[in-house]
Amino acid sequence: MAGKKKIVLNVGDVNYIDSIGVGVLVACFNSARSHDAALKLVNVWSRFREVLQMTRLLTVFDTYDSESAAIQSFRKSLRAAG
Amino acid sequence: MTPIMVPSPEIQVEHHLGVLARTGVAPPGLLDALTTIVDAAIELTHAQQGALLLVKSSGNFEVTVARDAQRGSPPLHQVQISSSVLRRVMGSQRELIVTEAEEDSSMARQASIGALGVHSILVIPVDKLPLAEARDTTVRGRRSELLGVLYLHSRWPFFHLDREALRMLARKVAVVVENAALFAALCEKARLDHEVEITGQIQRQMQPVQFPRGPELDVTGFTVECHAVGGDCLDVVKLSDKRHGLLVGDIAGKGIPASLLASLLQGLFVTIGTLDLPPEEVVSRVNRYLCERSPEDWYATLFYAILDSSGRLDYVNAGHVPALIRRCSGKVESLESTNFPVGMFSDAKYTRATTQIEAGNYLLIYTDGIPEAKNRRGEFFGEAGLRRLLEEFPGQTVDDLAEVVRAGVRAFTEGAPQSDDIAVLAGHYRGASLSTTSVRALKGDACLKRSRPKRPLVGRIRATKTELSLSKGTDHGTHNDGTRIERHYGCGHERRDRVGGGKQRVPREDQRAAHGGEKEDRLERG
Repeated sequence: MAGKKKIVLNVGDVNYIDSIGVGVLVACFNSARSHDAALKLVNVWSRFREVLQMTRLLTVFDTYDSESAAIQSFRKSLRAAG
Repeated sequence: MTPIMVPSPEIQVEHHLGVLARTGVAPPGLLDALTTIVDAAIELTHAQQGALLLVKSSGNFEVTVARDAQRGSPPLHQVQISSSVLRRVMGSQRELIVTEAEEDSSMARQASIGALGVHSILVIPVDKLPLAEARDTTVRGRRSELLGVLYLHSRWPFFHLDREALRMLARKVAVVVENAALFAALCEKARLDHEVEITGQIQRQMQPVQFPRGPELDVTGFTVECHAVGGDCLDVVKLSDKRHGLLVGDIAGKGIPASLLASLLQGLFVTIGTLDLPPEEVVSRVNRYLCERSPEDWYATLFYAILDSSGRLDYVNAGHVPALIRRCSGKVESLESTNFPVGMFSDAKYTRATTQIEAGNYLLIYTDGIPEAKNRRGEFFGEAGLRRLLEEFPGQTVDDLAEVVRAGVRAFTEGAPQSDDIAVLAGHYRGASLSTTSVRALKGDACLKRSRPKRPLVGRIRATKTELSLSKGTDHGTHNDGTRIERHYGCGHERRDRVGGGKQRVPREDQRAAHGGEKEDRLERG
């Protein structure tokens, strides 16, 4: 994705997220999408992952196991776009 | 500027104490109390005029009380106040005396003082009470905040001032003003509490008064709110004599904002649901409406199902906790989420899934307040806890099931504060009635008759003559036996063979479509 802004959110220390948190995350995602930006999540574990799974948001967010993998994915997208 | 002089002969102290004592029995009204304090300040300082100025929310001073030495009240707008003196006091937050005769030329030259035609000005700052600040650790160590000033004019220089007595008066002003503010806040809170309570009553009245009760289907439900109002909702929409729409929704968040949106969600479903559209179409329409009208970070998870008299259950689980089916064998099946919540993405596609409910099965739709109920050790009740309750449920009535769930969660939490709203909708499907099955197939079937205990036919199902005759001859006295038969019967192959139960009516292509929609509802990225 060749977005204007590239955001990587490392949520490795987040072991619980409530519905309000999910709402804020989705608002951020929608905001990024409307501004042609990209938001990627890193280290989505435990309860966080369960909630994203149940709400099917794992099909929306790009998730990675490390920050370097997430950053690398931007580079690949740029190469693909170029 | 002259430092305040402290000498106070004993006799003067007694006089001062007498003056202060009178302020302690001030009249109950705020202005009356403040007037008494200003009078006391004039008496203590022998000033000709005194005023109390309070800092308003705009940050400006406003004359609240003005008095003269004759206990008269000059018009507030006629009280002359030096803005430069006020600025000095705001800067230093200390008592200040300004005298024309003194050598402080920088002060004496200021026109705003000279225009007043007074000889001396005494200003005593009134600070907010230190006790209130000490409770708030975020402001500890900061300078005290100015509540206002006592402002006194005199034609003569001030002398023999009792600094402590004047400070005590300033503290009395702070006590009176802050007590009044607290009282006003208390009244406002009581008014808001009353409105919230009424909102809660309205919300409870919007819940279904009567759930379907009939020979085929019994439904019940309950909600338990964390606060006076809740963000969960449930409802049952009668689509026809043989079909019902069942809704349980959970708004993200709690409290009044969530309750407003829960009522909106419930209203939308009752309105759109009665159009008797496929469940995925109902949810899609609701989603589009909510995406247009609701705040950006708002959404709701929900489970919407249409149950027909044959036991066919078409449902949409939109990001919601799985609904559970308790089979007659005790086995519990989950109806998992296959869709996005509503209110998140206007372009989301919703797909339905279909399953078959057999006679004697129970359906439990609930919100995450059940699995996320916590005990005092911080442990979650969990979906496993709920499944265990269902597996061990002896299988009598739907009301029993609701009570088992309610009591099970209550026993687990051991009185720990409820952390989320709870909504539970429970259904007990007892099989197709005569009006949808072959009379010949049922003829002479004693088990079937006994499997349908007599119940008052209340709620939204209108009983037909045929249905009434079906339940004739049974009673609650045989309830336990009847239940046993029902469980056995509902799961037996013989019933499906004889009655032609609904399973055969579900087209395979429908089932494939229902379970295979995962890729379709994935959003386009970027």
